[in-house]
Amino acid sequence: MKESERAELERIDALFELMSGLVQRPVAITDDLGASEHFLASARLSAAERVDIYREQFWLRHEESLREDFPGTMALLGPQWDELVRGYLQEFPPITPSLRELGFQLPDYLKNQGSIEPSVLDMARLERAYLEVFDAPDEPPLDPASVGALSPEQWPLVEMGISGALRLLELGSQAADLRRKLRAGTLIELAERVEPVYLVVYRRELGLWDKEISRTAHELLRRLASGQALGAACETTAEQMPEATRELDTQLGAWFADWARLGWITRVIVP
Amino acid sequence: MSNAQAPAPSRATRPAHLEVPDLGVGAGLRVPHYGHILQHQPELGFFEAISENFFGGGKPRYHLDRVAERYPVVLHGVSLGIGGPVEPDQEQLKRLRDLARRVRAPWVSDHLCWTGPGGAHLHDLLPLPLTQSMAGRIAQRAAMIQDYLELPFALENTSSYLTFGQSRMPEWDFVTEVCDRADCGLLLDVNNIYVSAFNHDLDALEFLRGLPHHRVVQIHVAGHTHFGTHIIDTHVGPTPAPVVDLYREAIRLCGPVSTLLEWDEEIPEFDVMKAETLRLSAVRAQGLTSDAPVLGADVVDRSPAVTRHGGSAGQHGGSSGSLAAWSTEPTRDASAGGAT
Repeated sequence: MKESERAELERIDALFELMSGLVQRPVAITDDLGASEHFLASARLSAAERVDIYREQFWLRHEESLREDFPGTMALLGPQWDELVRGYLQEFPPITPSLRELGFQLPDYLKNQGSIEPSVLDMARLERAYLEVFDAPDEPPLDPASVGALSPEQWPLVEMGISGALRLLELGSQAADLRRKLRAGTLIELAERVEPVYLVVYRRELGLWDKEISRTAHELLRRLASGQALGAACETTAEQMPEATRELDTQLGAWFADWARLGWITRVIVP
Repeated sequence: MSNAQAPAPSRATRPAHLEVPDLGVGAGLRVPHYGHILQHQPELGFFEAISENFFGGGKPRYHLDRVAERYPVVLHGVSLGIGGPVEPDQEQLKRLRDLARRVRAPWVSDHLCWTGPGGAHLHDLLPLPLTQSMAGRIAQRAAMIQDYLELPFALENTSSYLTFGQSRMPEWDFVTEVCDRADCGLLLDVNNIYVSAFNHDLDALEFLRGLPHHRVVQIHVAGHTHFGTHIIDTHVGPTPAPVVDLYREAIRLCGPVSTLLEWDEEIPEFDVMKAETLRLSAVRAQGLTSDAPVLGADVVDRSPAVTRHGGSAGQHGGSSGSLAAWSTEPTRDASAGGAT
């Protein structure tokens, strides 16, 4: 490439930066922002007005996407939603090709606002989990032969492959039931705070599901998902939660069968 | 229409690697139609899927697989941003190649645009300064992508609402320069020609006739929304008459090229889409006759138009595909399931 072409492309890239900044402005582009230095007017619109078409599209598209993806959060926030979403898109501008990932930082953003009700944060986390699970990569189910081949001595040492289409949530409200009410057409209000709800959001046979499990089961799953071997995960769970020992002793076999059936465990890895 | 001074169809030879099958008239694959398509298996030439919506698994992938079992599927991307400051993402290209192989796509396409300055992704098909250096950048990347995919790769002329002071050539020359230097295909969007011609006071016929017809592997047809001062490419249907006229002329110039109807706003029942594809099939047949009427004058209506209701620019089926659109309402699993 000629030096002159390289220099021209650098100028163009700088112009892209400038245009990107204009397009992401929350308010209309005015003539004093210098658009006419780089862009041409048409017979009907000034240069600033023409760039503003892209700015309007930016906000329309992204606000609509977040409305579709976070209906429960929007309903709970009420009139606050619009302003918060504008702030969110300025602090977390879209960076990935998929619009589905646009709201992945919304729960964190809302948490950092300080004044958002905890049940709203629960809803935002739940809706993010649904989005993450919806089209997570497909995985083959657990091969029963791989389990049948394990000797008793190997069981404590195996690591469990936990489905990528699964998320573990600890919530302080029944956000999933609340969201179902909303989607059924019922007006919803801020949820009552309840004892912690340990929820698994997962995909099975193309559908999205949520299932409440015990605190012990939740903690064990979390440890398995982080890569701990089964024996170590049980031991550390019991150490951290002494009341869990009996539950682990009596339920582990049933849990494993259930989690395999639901597609939560996709493979066993023998070291 | 007239037959006087009829520009002849292009005599340039189509490059061998761009010899793609003529699939007739097809439609964009959209979520509200999956049930109808899989249940009734309507007769249609092909479907076009938005690549990025199918990079993951779950429902989108499942349905695409079922459609690909019954119909030819071509892949159309909206996020490569081939003119932007950053080289195409290798991981994204790998996913694109895997998907193309999975659905046996006969070709793959994306847009002549940029989508973000590097750190951001604006989810829009942003216009380019039309310069030799930009043509060179895009051509080099398009050639690399085509080699990597081992498939014909086509770039689409986009609609735009803005022109750069830096531009040095007409858009049709820019498109030709890119496609010739990359030796890649062109996805000719006739609605985009109409939209840009109005917005930039260009002659749509001159635009169409200036393109490299022998490189056209697919045509897009769609509707738009007129705001009086400008037109936005909303893909709202049915296709307006002047765009249909341009389409007939495009077929006359390019020959039998697979044609896709895009309809992304106020998406109707599938039967309405189907009727529109039949209308386009008839127009296509007219364009392919030896005495096809030649479009004799610019088709762009420059009178102030009645503003239709607004909408956002077509993101070609949306790159989101929200859960609501998929009718995917989460279900409570209250099964005892052991003691969990």
